Amino acid sequence: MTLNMGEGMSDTPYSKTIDPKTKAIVLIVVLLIIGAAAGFVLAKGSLRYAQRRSERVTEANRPYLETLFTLSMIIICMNITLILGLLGVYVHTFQKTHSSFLVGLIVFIGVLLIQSILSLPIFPTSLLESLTLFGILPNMFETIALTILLYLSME
Amino acid sequence: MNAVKRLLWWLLAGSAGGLNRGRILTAVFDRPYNANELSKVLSLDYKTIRHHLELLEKNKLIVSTGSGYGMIYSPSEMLETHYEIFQEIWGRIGKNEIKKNDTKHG
Repeated sequence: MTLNMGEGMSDTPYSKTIDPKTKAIVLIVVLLIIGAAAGFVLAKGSLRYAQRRSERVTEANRPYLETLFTLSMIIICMNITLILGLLGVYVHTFQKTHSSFLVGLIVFIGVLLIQSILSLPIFPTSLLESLTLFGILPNMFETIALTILLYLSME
Repeated sequence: MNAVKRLLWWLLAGSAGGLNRGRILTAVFDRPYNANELSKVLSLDYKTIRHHLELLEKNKLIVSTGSGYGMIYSPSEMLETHYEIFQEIWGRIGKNEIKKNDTKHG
């Protein structure tokens, strides 16, 4: 339904506020960009540390593993920024409503945040040794799921 | 928790803009309104009102009659039959909002 009215009516309190849908999309894009940038920087910063701790890296597989490491860092960091966005939305709503329903949502998102932080490949168990392309796939689906949840929560 | 209750919890408390949706529902329970009247009565931006009305209609909580400028909104049958659920949830989350408005008006 696209009824574009309002502009023509002088007594309508029409202002320049953006519509919540646009706001949601802008926020999601901004969070994804911040996450990707943070992940890239973090990957560059920790790559050497990860390589030193790994016996799997050889001259032949080095570029592949480096790309995989960077990719997984970027995806997990995007998940973390999306989760922080969700946490922000829920905490904001909680402050306004003090609803116990929101407490549940905040705890759920908090637990998911811990899960994401622990899945960052800088933690010893998930260093270069265990990185595979298939192993990153679940995180990509998590990104999609979080994007949908954030959109629905902002709507 | 029944389905309508879950839906109302999410739309009124679980997502941003829930308080404004609650205010819109309270208003249309009173009498049918069009979007323009609602934006004046609730002092909310017209675009925000349209967004919430579309969302509430999409979720089958309100129904519209008429067309264009004259389109008026009233509670759906589903919401009417579950009015006490709406009141219960709104009573719990809208409390702060209601208090704020009370002090504002006197």
